[in-house]
Amino acid sequence: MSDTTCLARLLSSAVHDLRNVLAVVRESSGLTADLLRLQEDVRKRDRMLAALSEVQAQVARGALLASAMDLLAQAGSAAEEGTEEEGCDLNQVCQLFCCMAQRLARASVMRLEHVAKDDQDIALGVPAVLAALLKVLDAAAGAGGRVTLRLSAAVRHKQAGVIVEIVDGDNAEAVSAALEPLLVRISGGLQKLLVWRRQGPLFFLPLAEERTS
Amino acid sequence: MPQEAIKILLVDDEKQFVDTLSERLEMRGFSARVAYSGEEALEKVKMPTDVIVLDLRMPGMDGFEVLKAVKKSNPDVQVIILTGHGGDAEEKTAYRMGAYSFLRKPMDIDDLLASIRMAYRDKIENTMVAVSLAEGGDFDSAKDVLREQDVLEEKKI
Repeated sequence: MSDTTCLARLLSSAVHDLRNVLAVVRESSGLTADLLRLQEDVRKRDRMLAALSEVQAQVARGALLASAMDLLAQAGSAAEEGTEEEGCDLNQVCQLFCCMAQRLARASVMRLEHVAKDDQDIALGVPAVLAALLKVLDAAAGAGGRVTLRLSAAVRHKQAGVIVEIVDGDNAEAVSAALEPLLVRISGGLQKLLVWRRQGPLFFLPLAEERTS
Repeated sequence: MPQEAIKILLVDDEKQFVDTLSERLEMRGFSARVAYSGEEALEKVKMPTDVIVLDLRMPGMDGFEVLKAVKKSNPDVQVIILTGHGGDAEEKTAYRMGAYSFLRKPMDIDDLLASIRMAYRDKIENTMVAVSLAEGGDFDSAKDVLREQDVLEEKKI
């Protein structure tokens, strides 16, 4: 058994258990909320319902992390089975990255955002995409961080990749300079087509040939 | 005629989870029973059941085996998969084997309720189509037959 398979299997097993833990917490807090709604003391009831809604919000956060770890475990298994060349859904991997690397980003006072889009299959495995995105994050952190990076899967000149927008930061200039050697700067008319952008500097990270089904 | 609740069988080896979920479903007017293993589920599905909410990974008989057995013995019972081990491959396999929907833990109870209601409605529709075919394509006769069997009586959904 390879190291990758071992990690993937253990991660998959742990995620399964984590999902069960979250499910029990969600149902138990949900039942408590159901019962509280029958109580007559409105002030106490509302305060307790507010606390329980925070529990539910944290469960939702945990569920997102569990999904990301699940995808990582599946990618590990695919790599071992030799199906890695089948590629991945770039949009899903961008989402996974934003979820899993949020803590890393926070260490450099950065935030990661993902712009949700339709599936975009590319002929590149999950680990390779994650490595490329991590390199971008490291470069931004190395330049001092203090920005928000918005990621969006895209196709440019028949090449699939990720659009990286630098927003909401007082250090955008330094981060832009640090990303310049790694990414392709997007300027001119194309910017107008990206309706979700927030006027920050835009870059494109080319990853693989576009794949059409 | 008295209102009758949708009959749900919850199957999961996580006792705390199914017990709590069962209580929440009962509070919403459903009739929920629990089974803590695949083997127990196959015993309990012999009693009238509309929808099964089924976990996949369980000690002993797993969810896929239960799904296969249920679809063979009670093809009209709808099966919703609710699992903590939800890869794309498992999801495709479950649908191929006849699962109605596939949810991942921890789920929002409203999503589960919506899925149960839709599964139940489709079950009734399937029954109506089957009876209508048996009645020579006469949909109204089929409705009469089903009313006589109380299948179309309004349920608490």
